Amino acid sequence: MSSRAPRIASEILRGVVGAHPCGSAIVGDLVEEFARRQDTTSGAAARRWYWREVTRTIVAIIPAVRLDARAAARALGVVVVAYTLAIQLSNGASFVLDYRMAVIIAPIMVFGALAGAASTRAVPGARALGALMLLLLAMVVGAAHVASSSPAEIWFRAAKVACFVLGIGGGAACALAVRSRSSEAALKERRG
Amino acid sequence: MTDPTSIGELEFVVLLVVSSLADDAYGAEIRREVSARTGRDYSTGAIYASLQRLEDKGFLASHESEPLPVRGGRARRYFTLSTAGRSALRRATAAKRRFWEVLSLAPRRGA
Repeated sequence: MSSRAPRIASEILRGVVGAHPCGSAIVGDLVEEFARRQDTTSGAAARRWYWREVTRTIVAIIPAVRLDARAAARALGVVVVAYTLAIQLSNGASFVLDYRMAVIIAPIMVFGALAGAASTRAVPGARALGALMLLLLAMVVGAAHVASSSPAEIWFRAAKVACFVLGIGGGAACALAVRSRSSEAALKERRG
Repeated sequence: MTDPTSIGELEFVVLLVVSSLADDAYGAEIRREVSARTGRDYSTGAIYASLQRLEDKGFLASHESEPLPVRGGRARRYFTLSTAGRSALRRATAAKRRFWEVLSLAPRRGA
């Protein structure tokens, strides 16, 4: 019995290769190969292959994605503003909550998630690309933040950065899932 | 500076495969053929990055098929070799042949 390709992997792939001129053909090729592998191997093996191939394809295709100057400026603007706002609001919450780890995790993750969701609007047609840019920015700045801390607070800072990155990933994944459901519903409506 | 008409190793293989597949040269089939002939498992992304570079250089042309249910309603993108692509393939083959000729004329170590 054949089933659909893993939905989350498909949505992430669509969200990245949407900015490539052959984006739709790339997704179609992977879906076609997934169906072929389901018939020749087990469903689990086909799903494993699909996830692995989506990851490899994203890594290979990102350098080939070209944005024009206006789209690139917009993407960078959305990502930087989302990042700066989330960091400032998290810092404000940390200050109000007296920097107690047990209680500041929630606002860090919430503001990270909101920034992650906003970043999916950075590149129209390639929604996961903005989220990847924000994740990269948060990890690079976060690593510098942790590296510059004193030994006494290194774990505290590392935990804050990890929560922020997790929040971004979670928020972006939720936004992509919501988008996927609404586009599927619109497709069904058009067919029906 | 890189010569815009030069082609890399993977691009050379992709051109050969597109030429041999003729009317059936679309992404998934090209990937299978390239992987089978080279013995390396290339990702779909790596193949499309090469196909896009070759199309930008004017060595390949592409067109889309009708949407197919097996692909979730997406079209296949078929690639064909252009005249410039055929010339590039001939030039690259001749360069490789000359290289092998030089190697076969070179005195062997220890001889």
